[in-house]
Amino acid sequence: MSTISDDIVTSSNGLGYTSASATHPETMVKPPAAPSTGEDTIEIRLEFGGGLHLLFSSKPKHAIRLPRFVPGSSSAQPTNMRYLVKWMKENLLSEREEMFGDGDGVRPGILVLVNDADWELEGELEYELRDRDEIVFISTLHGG
Amino acid sequence: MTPNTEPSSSSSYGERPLELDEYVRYGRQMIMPGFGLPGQVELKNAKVAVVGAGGLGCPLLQYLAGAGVGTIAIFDHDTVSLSNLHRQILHTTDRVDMNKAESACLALRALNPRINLISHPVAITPSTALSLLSPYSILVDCTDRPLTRYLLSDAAVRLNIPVVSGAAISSAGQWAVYGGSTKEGKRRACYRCIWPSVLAGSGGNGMCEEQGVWGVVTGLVGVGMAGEVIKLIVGKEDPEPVLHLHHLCSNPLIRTIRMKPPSAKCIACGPNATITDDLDTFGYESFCAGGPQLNDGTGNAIGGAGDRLSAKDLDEILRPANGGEELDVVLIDTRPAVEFGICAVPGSTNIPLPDILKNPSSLPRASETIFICRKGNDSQLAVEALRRELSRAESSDDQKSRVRDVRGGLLAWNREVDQHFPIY
Repeated sequence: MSTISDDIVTSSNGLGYTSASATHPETMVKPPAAPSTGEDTIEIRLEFGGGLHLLFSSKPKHAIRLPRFVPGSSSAQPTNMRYLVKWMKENLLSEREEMFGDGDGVRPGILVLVNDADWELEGELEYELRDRDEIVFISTLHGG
Repeated sequence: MTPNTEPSSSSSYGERPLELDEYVRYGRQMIMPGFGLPGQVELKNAKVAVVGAGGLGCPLLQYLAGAGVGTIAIFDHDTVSLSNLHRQILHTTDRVDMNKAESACLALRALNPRINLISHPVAITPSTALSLLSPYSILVDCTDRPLTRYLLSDAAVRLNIPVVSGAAISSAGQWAVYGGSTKEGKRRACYRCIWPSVLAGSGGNGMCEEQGVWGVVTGLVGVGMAGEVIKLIVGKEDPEPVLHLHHLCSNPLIRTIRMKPPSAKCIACGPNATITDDLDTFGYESFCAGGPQLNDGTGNAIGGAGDRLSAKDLDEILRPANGGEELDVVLIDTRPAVEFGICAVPGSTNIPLPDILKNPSSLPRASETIFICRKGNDSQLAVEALRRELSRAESSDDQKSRVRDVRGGLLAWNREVDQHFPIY
């Protein structure tokens, strides 16, 4: 029975979770671990909703590691959203770049959330990422 | 005052703002601190327009009527179908084919005869939106396509009223209050500020008819929207505008995010807005078009005469008496596996369209390949992919393989060949 309901959920294009929380509770309710201080990389959690996971190998959740500072920056520029979007285009995007990117940013119609706030409230491309930040990309839904 | 002018609204001890039975009817919400008689009177005086009496509209309307929203206008030009009833819970089996606005009014009158229900069995268009919606102070968008969503948002900006807008597809939903101003006088972003363009090709563009939807997901979103409407009316709205995102299998079940303020670049509500009261001049059709559309079984997109089969032709080919086996025909059903599992033409093989498009060379070889799908759209894309593959792979002296598809798909199969074939 659980297999049946999981199949229904898997075909979802909404926030696009690949499995029910019941089958992988550890990924859903993991308590925050101690921040990985002292390392030269930071962990970023990415999530795609509204069908956008189709642009990223149909995987709705990704955990990635980025350098703490933008590589090659002369004055130790902390890694920001501008670097993340560029990194995603080069390393994570499975479809054509214009399906996701627009200049340094993302296409109009894609809403970017930084830890549960519209990224425009957080500095947009200039927002400096912190370890274990959660970045969500969603598009609007139309059904009703 | 004439004797029959609601004698119960006043007594020798003065005027009462509600009828006596309304004190009982609404008592359980009125006794909450911060709600009280003033909140109930606000509800009674409120005038709300709800567009769409479907999956979102039904649960929303049920709670607005139950709570005592005094005037509710319901706009819907569509009629009730049997496939609506798993989620559009105000309609009934008896009322299939009735207009949805009329059907919803029947249910709501039975629930609460004290409120004023106005049924509009018409579509809202760019030329009628402002005049139809101007009597109302809150607009609720329970529609199911981009065109009406942008039209309603633009109309609300022109009328300077808030829109409570929600959407649901598959197991996900989202809803928010857009436009208008908060109690503190802060302007909210309009729908266009947050979603400035339609993202063609994204999964969220789909309709419930094609992608499916959980009844409880439209239910939860509709009830969430009703909560926002009631909060607006009784002055309990969120001080900072927020957007709610729901997925049936996420934890937490609802993620609430802070929305940005209105966009200075917005063409509807920004300082250099180009959208005016003359909504008819904004090209909603072209703004919302998500690329070329293949539609129904006419087959005008791909293939000329003789390249497509009717369902009757397919029936002839498949009949053993006509040598279906010896003819070396393979019939491929391009629907998703879950739909193939619901019903399929005997003898057909299921290879979903994405697999066909990804790797047409892996399809089984036969002297004739026939594709079939639900409506006759995806099968045309499969035909195109296989023909391209064959013209690349086959040398000129090979015997040519024939590739065709069934016009009108399984709907035509049901209509023309087997009336007991399930249609879903």
